[in-house]
Amino acid sequence: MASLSSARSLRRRRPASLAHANPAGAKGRIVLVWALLMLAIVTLAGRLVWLQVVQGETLADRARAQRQIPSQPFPQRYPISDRQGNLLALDRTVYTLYGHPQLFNQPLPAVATALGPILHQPVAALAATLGQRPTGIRLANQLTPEVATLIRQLRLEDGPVNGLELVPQQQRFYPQQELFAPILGFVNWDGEPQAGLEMAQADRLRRPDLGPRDRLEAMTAFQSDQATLKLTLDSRLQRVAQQALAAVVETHQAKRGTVMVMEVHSGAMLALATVPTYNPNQYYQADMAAFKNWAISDLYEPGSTFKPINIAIALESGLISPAERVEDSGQIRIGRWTIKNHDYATVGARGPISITDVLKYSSNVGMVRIMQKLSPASYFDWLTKLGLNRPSGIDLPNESAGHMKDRQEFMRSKVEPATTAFGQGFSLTPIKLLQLQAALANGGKLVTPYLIDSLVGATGDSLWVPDRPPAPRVFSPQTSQQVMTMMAAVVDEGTGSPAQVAGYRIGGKTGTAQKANPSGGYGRGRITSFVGVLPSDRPRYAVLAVIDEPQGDNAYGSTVAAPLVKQVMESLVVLQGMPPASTDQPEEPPTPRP
Amino acid sequence: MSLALKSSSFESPQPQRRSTSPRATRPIPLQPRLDPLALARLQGLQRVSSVLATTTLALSLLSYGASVYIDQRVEQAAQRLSELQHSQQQMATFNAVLKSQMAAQAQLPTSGLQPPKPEAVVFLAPATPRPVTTAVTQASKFLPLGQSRPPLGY
Repeated sequence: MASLSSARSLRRRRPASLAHANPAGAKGRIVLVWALLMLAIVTLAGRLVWLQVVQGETLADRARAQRQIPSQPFPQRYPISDRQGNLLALDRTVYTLYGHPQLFNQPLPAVATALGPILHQPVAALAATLGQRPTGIRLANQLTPEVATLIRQLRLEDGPVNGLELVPQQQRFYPQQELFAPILGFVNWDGEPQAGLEMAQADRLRRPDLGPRDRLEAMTAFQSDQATLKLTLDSRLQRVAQQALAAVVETHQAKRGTVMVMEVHSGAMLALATVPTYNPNQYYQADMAAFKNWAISDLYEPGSTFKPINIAIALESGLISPAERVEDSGQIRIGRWTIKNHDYATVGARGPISITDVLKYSSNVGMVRIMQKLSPASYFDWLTKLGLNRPSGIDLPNESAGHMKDRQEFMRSKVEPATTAFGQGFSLTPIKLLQLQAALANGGKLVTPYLIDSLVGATGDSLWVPDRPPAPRVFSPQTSQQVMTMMAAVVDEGTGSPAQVAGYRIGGKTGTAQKANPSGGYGRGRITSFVGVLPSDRPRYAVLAVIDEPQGDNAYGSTVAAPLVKQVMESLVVLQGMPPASTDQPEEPPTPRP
Repeated sequence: MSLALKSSSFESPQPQRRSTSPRATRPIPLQPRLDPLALARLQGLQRVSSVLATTTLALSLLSYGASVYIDQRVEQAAQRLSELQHSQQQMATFNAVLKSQMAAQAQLPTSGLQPPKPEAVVFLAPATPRPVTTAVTQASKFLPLGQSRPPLGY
């Protein structure tokens, strides 16, 4: 176009005879214009490449930074709730306050004076801290949203304060404080789970990473991904159990203690209280020893609470019948060892007594005579079948397996089966003993105790249910029923009478075991326990209390642990809506959960 | 552009080579000879392209405006969602803390409250399920079917 018009104007101004001179001049100008245009195009294209390809990422980031309003960080982990949906652990937003004195639009002392009361820090110290550097001074950690709002709304005489920066972050928070700490564990400041379920279920609890997505996309993804890890525990019962346990431990100046409540048919735990405990919100102030749940990780010799299990073994093997009588001579000599009843000094020999009486009076000699009918090899096989040397399989980390003598030693030494008959000479965890008692109560199935019910979505639907291992049958329902009847007699007329709850049929067994010294042999320390089953005629719940090293001469299973189990059972029947036996309506047997 | 360049740079010197006489030279055909039909076609094409260009311009302006508007609205909604999510988290925390504190206070010896005990509770057996009465049978107690009162004004 440009070349045509220029040619036309040349034609108008110059005669036709000079036309031969035009092509060279026109060509030069045309080339010049073309070159200019090409240069412009190349320059623009080059600039485009520079902006889009070379600097594209940087510019996009800068644009995003300008567009984005600083938003709250998203919670990192799913909350944990009890069976009623009460939250036990959740993420909350906390703030770190930074001061940048070079940006202050107010005098530094005035800022320090205003901040001091809000942060609960001395003004002079705050002013000194602010004077250290011109920028980036960390003034306070873990500020709650309320304190953060106070700081944001801070107004001095000259208006709002510049140069204070609040950086939000997510932190795990445990509203029930000490109540569930040995079960839940805690997550440290760096967001790393350190103990308990937080650690065992770290992958399940961690929210899917939202990644470097667009903020809106991330928010939408976050909103549609709501879930809660629901436990089988009952906060109300746990609170009652924890309070009662702490009171008993304090009264008897005991070293530690535990109370556990379990649904015998399913293995679901309703309460698992332990002392010592700690506040997981201030884990850095806690004693490290409290971080482990000793009811899961520490072994003890169960003593007489193991006797009902031995009776069940003997009944199941067909070596005794419930109506049989055994000779209780008060003491018995096994090799170079003499085994006595705990009340031999006062009662002496009882003579022939029934199997029920053996449990009722917690007769060691009676138990030894019963278990002597079983060959050591069969006895050892039975203990192995019950998984005495295996963990219970509860869904908590760091569970210990029980400790038994090896097979040769058990068969070689006659005293080993004899001491095992009354629950000494081997050790297991309190949770393992509860599992075995539940097998006695539920008709003979060795159910696995568990705490995690499921991962529940926002609408209440189950997103994940843990695999429950099948419960192998170890005793027949008949044996189970027979032992329950005997255990009911222990509470009605025997050593377990302090655990009686008016109107309820309760079975139980006391236990007072001597503690083994680290050097071998038994010392003065004792460990008292009581296991109760409720109701004994149609068992639904098993409750175990173990108190380690209670002080005082009158510290026995019946005086320390049984009243504690009674307290927990009283609350249990109310919370579970179980009417007393006299007004008990026929009801459907509880359905075992998967 | 390239066509014009070709015609002016390559076609014009050719006559000079054939004849050196200045009289034999002829002017560059600056005005292309086109028949009227082709011209009309070109004119039509130009109109269509103008309309297309205008429409495209209008559409691009519209879409640009819409993108800015939608972006603004989305940003506002995102801001609101963020605030709501934050409030939800705070509410959940407050609720949990409140429950826990109430339970802890109830346990204090000075509260005068005791842990639940069966002797202090009345257990009621659930009532037998009653037959479900439908809305029609309920209504029929008061008004025979087919009869309706005139509306009552207040």
